Amino acid sequence: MVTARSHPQRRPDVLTRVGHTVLETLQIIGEAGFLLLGTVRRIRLRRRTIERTIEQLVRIGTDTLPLAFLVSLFVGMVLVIQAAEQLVQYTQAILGSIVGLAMTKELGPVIMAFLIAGRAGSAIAAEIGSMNVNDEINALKTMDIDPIEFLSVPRFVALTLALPMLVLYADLIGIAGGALAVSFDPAVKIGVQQYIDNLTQWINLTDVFVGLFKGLVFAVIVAVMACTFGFRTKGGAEGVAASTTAAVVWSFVLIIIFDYIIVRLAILL
Amino acid sequence: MTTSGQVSIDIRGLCKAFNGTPVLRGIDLHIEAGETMVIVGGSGEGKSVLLRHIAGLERQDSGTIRFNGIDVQEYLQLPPDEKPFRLSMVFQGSALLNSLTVAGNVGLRLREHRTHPEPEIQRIVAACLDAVELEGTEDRLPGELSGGMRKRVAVARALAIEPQIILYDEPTADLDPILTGQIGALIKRIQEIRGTTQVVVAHNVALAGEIGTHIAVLHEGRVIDQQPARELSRSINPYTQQFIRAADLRRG
Repeated sequence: MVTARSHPQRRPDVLTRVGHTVLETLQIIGEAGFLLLGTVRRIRLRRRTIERTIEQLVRIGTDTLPLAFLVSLFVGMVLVIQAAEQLVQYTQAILGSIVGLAMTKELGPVIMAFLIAGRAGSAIAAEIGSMNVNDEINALKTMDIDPIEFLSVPRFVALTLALPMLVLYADLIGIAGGALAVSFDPAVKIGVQQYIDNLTQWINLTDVFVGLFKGLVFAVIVAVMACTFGFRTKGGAEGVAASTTAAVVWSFVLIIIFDYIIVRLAILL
Repeated sequence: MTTSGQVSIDIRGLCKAFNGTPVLRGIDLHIEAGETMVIVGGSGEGKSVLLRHIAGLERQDSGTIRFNGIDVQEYLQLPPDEKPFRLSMVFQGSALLNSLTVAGNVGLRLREHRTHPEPEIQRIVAACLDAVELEGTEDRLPGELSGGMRKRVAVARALAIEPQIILYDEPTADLDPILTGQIGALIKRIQEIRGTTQVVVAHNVALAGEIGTHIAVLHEGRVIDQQPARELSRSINPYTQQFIRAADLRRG
């Protein structure tokens, strides 16, 4: 009996796959870099741009406030309870500084950046991605409308304004959450006044500004990655889904990497 | 440009390959100013790719596209207010911006380039919607419209800038025969009233015969036949005959 021999398609070897991934990564970084430069160069105070930026600010900033409130409040409370447990044999008098420093320098910026990347970054990548696959971006081009100025600039500006403000908001709510836990949790043996006194003694404006600067950098990362993956979307719904996931994953990874770089530089300076 | 402000399109030796696969293999096509050229051909023959090259959305590997002697790339580099003529495109899926209302879509280019004061833009938008029989839909979102209405809004958007060239990519795809007839009549009316140079990519040979002044048949990346619309059925080209017979068979 003669049987048909199947010839399974050869999978590329490990080296080819690694090479492909490296090239793809470099291409994404290059595209993101060019998009960042192109977006910054196109920022102008035009009435239509301002209107679109305000629209994005409302979508990104205002709509995120309730979620940011909940997350920050509970992070503050968890910090107090965790630290109180560890400090029970030493002193809980430093709870205020622990929560304050953790929120302003680290958790406020990083958690808000993750929240914005997951919520606004994915929405931006999906929106621009579906516009891309539905020829809406090509339609803009045939109308002599620059897609970067029309789509990227308002989202970039809105994110860079919204995220530092959200970081400040998260800092305050997180500290308030810590105070709330201090007031009712049986594991905490200090009063709210002592918590606040310790916090104000240790936190200075530089700590807050470092956090805000981180927020600004993270906002640039989220905006650029979301727009980059939106613009490079190919295919139909599957392509949009892949771009959205990639935008969020890249944002998360870059946020952590740049967090380390900023902390290192801040310590050196 | 001609004295009447009309624009001719001249395509010579246009070649394009994607990932090494040739799609356009030397297109030669001349479209007279003010005529409606319908490009027909089977699926995957490169009709839409050709149209996207004319719109400047793709860059050719070789060959030229000229509008009244101006190279397409040279035309694209010009600032919007310095372009000697305007070009619009109606996309297969309409490509309306879903976040904008019908009026927002139709008046988008005028508002972005601040070519007219707002009351004038509103008047133009109303006139364009009137021309496509969609008056009163200004405040509706594209998601609230039927496929045929979306197509007509896309035509209204194309008309709003008073273009000298309009490109249509499968304007009647997925539409029922009545809507197909309406869109066809609209394209014919635009050519008759405005004298706009139009290039229409279509599958529907009957529609092509009704709306086109000339018909070009694309096969294997080349224009293999080009006839005045009324004479297409008398073409001696075997592929054209096969294409017409298949279309007749489908219509019963």
